[in-house]
Formats: sequence, C-alpha cells, structure tokens
Amino acid sequence: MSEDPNYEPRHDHGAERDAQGDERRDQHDAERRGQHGDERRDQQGRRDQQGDERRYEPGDELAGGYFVPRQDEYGAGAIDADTAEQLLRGDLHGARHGDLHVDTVDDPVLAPLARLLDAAAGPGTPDEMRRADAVFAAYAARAQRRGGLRFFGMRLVGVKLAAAVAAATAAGGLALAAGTGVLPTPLHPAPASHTPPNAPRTGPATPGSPVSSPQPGESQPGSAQPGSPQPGSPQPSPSASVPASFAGLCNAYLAGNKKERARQLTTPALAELVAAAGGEGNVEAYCVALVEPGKEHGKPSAHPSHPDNAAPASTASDSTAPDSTASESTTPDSAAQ
Amino acid sequence: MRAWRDGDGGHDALGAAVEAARSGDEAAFRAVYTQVHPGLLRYVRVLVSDEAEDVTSEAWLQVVRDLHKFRGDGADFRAWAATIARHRALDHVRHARRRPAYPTPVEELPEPRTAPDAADLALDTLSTAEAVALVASLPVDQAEAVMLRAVLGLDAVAAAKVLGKRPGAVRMAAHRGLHRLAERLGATEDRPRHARGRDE
Repeated sequence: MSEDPNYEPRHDHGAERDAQGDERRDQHDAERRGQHGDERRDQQGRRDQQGDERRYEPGDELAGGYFVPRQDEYGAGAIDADTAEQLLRGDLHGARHGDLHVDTVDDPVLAPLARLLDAAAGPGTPDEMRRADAVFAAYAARAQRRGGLRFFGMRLVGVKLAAAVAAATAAGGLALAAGTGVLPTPLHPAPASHTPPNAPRTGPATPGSPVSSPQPGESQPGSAQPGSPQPGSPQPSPSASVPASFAGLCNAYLAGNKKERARQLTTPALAELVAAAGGEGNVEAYCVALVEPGKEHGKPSAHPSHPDNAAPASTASDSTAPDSTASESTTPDSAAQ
Repeated sequence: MRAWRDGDGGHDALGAAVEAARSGDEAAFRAVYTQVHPGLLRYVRVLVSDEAEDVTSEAWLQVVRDLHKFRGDGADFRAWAATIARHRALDHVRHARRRPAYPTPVEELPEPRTAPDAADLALDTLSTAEAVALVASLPVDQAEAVMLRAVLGLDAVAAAKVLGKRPGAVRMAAHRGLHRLAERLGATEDRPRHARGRDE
C-alpha cells in the first residue's frame, strides 16, 4: 500500500463515496419494494440518535476538505481518527475517564468494537501458556551459563576470566563425566580425564589471579566464583551438571537442517542429550541456551571490544541481529541461512 | 480491559521485570513472559495462523539469547519482542514457500484464513480466540497494525518501527482495520432492520 500521507484523505473520500453509493442502492432497492418511506425514517432515526453524541472532530476535515458526517460512511456509526486512536489505546471506556469525549457504553458501533478489541487483548489463557516451560528452561540454562560473564563489570576482563573459568570447570566436568560413565562422543574427543587444573583445554588461560579483578562487589549470589572451582571435585557447578560433550553434540545438532535434526534425535549418540533436555521437543531450546555462551567462551579474543557481537554471527542456529532498532533490513541475513 | 495495561501502571513494572531478567532473575523472566507472551502469540497468529506457537517459541528463544543486549523500558521490550517475532514469522512464511531469501512484502503474505462470521458471534461473550480470529480476518497489514497497537499496546511510532513503515501509514492501516471491523460488527446490528424490511 502507499505510504504517502496524502493517501489518507483520498481513501476516506473514496470510501465515503462508495458507502454513499451503497446507501443509494439500498434506498433504490427499498423503493422498488415499496418500502421507501419506512426505510428512510428508520435511517433518519439512527442518524438523529448519532447526532446527539456526535461532535465536530478535526479528523473530519481530512475527508475531503469539508465536514462530512462520518456516520454515513458505513451506514452504521462514526469512527473518526481521534476515536480510532482511543479505541486502539483502549481508552474508550466511558465517562469515568473524564477527558474522553465519547462514551462507548451506548454507542451502537463503538461499544461492540471496544468489546472486540478488549477481548483480543484479554489476559492470557492456559492454552496460550503451554509452551512456557520450554522457554523458562532455556532461560534458566542461559542465565546459569551467563553467570560467570555478568559477574564482572568490565566485559573484556570478564570474558577472559570466564574463559579461564569455563575451561577449568569444563575439565572438571569432563573428569566428572568420565567418572560417572557419561563418556564423550566421537564428535568431541575427550582429553585425558585427569587434566591438571592449571592446564585448561581451550581458550587462553589468564595467569593473573582472578581475585584481583575489578569490582568484586558486583558479585551475585549463585554466579560462578572464579576462584572456587576445584576441578575434579564433584561440587555442583554449571558445567558439572551439563556434561561438556553436550556442547559438541549440540553444535552438531544445531548445524543440521530440520530433516537432519529429526534423524539425529533418533540416534543413540543423542540419547543422553535428549534425556537431559527433557524430551526431543526441548532439545533445540536446550542446545541454543547451552551452546552459544560456550562459543563466547571459546573465542574470547576474536572480538575483544565487542564480545557480544561475536555470538549471533558465529551461532549455528538461526539469527536475526535483534536490537531495539532492528528493522526489515536485517531480515535477509536471517533468511539466507 | 487490555491485559498489557496491567504491567504498565505508571511505574513500568514490565520494564523493571525485564531489567531484573537481564541480570538472571528467573522469576522476573517468568513474569515478563507471562505478561508479554499472550499478546505476542496473538500477533504472530495474524501472520502464520497454524504455526503461531512454534514461531512464537522460536522468537522467545531468541529473546532469551539476546536479552543481555536489550536496553529499554517495558514498551521498548514489547516492540523488540514483536520485531523478533515478526522476523521469525516472515522467515517461516518464506521457508514454507521454498522461495529465495528476500524480504516478502507484507502484501504478499497469505491472505487470511477462515473469517468467523461476525453475525454468528455473541458479542457479549466474545472469547479472546474469536476476537483474535476476527482481527486476523482483516487484510494482513491492517490486522498487524491493529494487533500491535490494541493487543501488544504499542504506540503508532513503535508499531511503525516494528513494521518498517511510517507511523502515518500504520495509523491509517489500523484505522481502516477498525472501520472494517465495525462494518462487520455493524452487519449484525443492521440485520434486523433489513430483515424487517423484507418481511413487510
């Protein structure tokens, strides 16, 4: 449709002519049926009733440079621009909102319309919330993984430390996983299960003490403490509860298209992952939440000043760079995958 | 009453919940989801009626993933979530048609779907689903505009940003949508008059 602002009056005028044409046809039909008089009186009665509530609105002038009673437009009441705005905002609920000029309670057109919009904007139903748990699970997994990152005010330092922490805990997680029989898969070859704590498997180790990091006061309860992980010890930590091999499985899983994913879900290699995710339907959510922080950890120095930007660009899942200014122009990127 | 009002009662409760959710507060995230999801799902239903739940879930996963990048208040969050959901929905439409990847003009989106006959609906007991279906039966640009504004509670400027149009165009589309809905609802009001005319 046209985005020309001048389009509005032309349309309104046209719609009006059409509506008037309809009315003329109606009257013509009525005349042929010998009902002309009754029909006219009836319509006139409606118009008078409307007229009592009707005021001259600035929007009326848009209809073609002169005041035209809008109630003729559709033969059943008036919706001028201001009224439409109030309907959309949900402000039209009667005189108790002092500043409003229309009371919808008795209006034969506005009352049903307001009811319709209110119903459409009504509270959520249980039916609508049935996918909530999968989303909450994804959020929980994500928040857990991001805990280490958000612990520090300065992102750069935070990313480096988080990489070191992640590497150390990953080694611990692997050791734990190996010890409990959760074996790494061919997709993600395991290092020796007794990796020394200070020889992280991936990522640049930060030799300096993490304790000297800035703004320790921002620590959050429950977030990963950089000094605390004791590789090999079974204390609960994010990566101890999430075997590291899952990241590799998830990468492989997310890299596939729909068909491939469906096939992968049936293979024994993913059985553990499916179980951990709580069902085949949750695997994608689980993996998306699991893998992407891992990627941030894996390449902490690739974009040192924009650690966040690396995440969507390197992700294997679909992505539209979303920020509050996202617009149509970002759509082709996401569609190209 | 519009559900989206509940959280925006003066002090932007939604914005506060979003902020808490950004720093890992799971209860806050649940509150955000509970408040925003129904409207988001209904909006997506206008674009991809049958797959709306899948598409909206995808959108939420992306919200979860990128929440740390979001800055803004509650209204901004609604608009942001709507933008993501819209992109996911348009992706879905494109993939479903197995067409090359270029932006699908809104005008080419599938025309809706089975419109409930307004005359058959009892307006006093109109359910949310019936109301959404009625809005979804509008031409899609009008339906989108009405949903973003009346159901997700966006103002004309925010809705225009989501849709990539000018505010005037979105306002116009929403108003036309209202006119058309009034026309359909008015058909119920007019019916007795016409019926009487024929009977006499």
